[in-house]
Amino acid sequence: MELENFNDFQLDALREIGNVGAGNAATALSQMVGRRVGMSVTKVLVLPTEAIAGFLGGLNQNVAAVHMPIYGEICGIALVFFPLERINELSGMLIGKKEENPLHLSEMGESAIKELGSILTGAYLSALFRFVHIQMIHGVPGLALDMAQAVLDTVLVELEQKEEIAIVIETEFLENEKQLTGSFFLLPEAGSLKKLFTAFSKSLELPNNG
Amino acid sequence: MAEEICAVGIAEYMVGRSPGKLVAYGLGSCVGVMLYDRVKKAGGLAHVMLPSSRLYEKIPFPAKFADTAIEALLKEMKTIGCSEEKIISKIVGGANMFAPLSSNSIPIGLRNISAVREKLLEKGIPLVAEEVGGTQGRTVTFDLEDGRVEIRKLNFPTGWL
Amino acid sequence: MGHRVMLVDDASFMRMMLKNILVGSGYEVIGEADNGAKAVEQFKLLKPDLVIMDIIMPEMGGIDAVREIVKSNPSAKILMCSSMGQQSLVVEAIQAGAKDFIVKPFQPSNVLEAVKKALG
Repeated sequence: MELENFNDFQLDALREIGNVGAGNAATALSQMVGRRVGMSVTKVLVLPTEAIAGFLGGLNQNVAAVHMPIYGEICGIALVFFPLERINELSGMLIGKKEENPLHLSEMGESAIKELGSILTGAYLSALFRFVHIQMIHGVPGLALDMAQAVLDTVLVELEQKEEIAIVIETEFLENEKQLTGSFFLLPEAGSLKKLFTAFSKSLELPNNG
Repeated sequence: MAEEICAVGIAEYMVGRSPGKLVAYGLGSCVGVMLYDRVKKAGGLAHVMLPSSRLYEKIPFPAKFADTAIEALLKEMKTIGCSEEKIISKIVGGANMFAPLSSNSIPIGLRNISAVREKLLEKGIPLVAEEVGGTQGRTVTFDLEDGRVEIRKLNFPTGWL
Repeated sequence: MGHRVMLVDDASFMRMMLKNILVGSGYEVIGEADNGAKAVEQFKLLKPDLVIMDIIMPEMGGIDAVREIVKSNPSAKILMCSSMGQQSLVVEAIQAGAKDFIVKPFQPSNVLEAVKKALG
């Protein structure tokens, strides 16, 4: 899949989607933690999956990964990554009870993180929908606490693809001076990606030069 | 002298001679298949994604499937002078990280493990060590000097094969 | 008259949030279920005044559960929960018999307003 299919104009549109999505996401997060959460610099990229680990800063960062199937007119998998070492802090904020160990969250804490990932995914997907008008429903979330590369490995197997392109939206959440980076990935199935690009071009009223 | 460490990405394979190490980062449901000829001090690592190439017409990446991966490894090891009788195998991976919601189908990680074991048996290659299954991803470093395999989980060394 | 509410969501966290909002305003949470199939069963046993039901769940989703419940209880009052981005499913749920919907994450005032309205 050629990344040149996204020209500058379309990349700008993607960035706008990223901003809208991140804004939705920050609002949602504020409501969930009961405190004002701002958001700052977001990166919006279209990346081949082998570049993702490097993008996350190192080949094997440990992450808390919420994963969901995407179905509807576009099929694939959505992921929300948080740095693993901060996850007990985030969980603690959500459930109002301190969690000591990121690797041993309470059942309620895990549930809260999964719901957070699901709600954030909805925030980003609805921003995408405003542009491309394609139905994407996110399904039941799961949680994996693991090396980023292992999560991607598993996703690629689920999609049966060696190579995948991911739409990546990285958001920096700010709460009271504290920063937390959340990364959202949408990995559409091969056939779906084409549909997405086409819809993108149409929505910007540009010829699909392919 | 710096020792060469080569990464073997998903659906890829690599064969080499000592000194040197082959690494598969983040094996989730994939299985890392390692073949080693301790006489020649040479070996190969395949990062296998799926159990069988049977239903596929075009196979641009032989290491994608358990059956074609092992064939590819053996073929290349023979071209660098390894003899099949001296080859042993070790396997790592096949975790079930995304627990299936409807447990009607066998998780792909387990199917990969079965397929790899079956193919090794078919080829008469002894499987001398394995660390497979579970729910955690693994990184493996395969040392061609002695055939030792270091396993890491969550980036922390957890053991050797 | 204290109203008896049943909560259906696969996320225990969401059920907890809703419970806190409802109990804090004098409602009684008489049962919980984590998927649509259990919701249908529990409804038969508990006969709640109101069900708050998530749309996306394992085993049986909210839309199918609504259909099942309304089949044998046409007067059942069901409020759907959806995330942003899942609202297209809400239309289906309402066609299946749900009364209204609320969007996650929950604003307590929105939840209470919707509950009051649904109970009539």
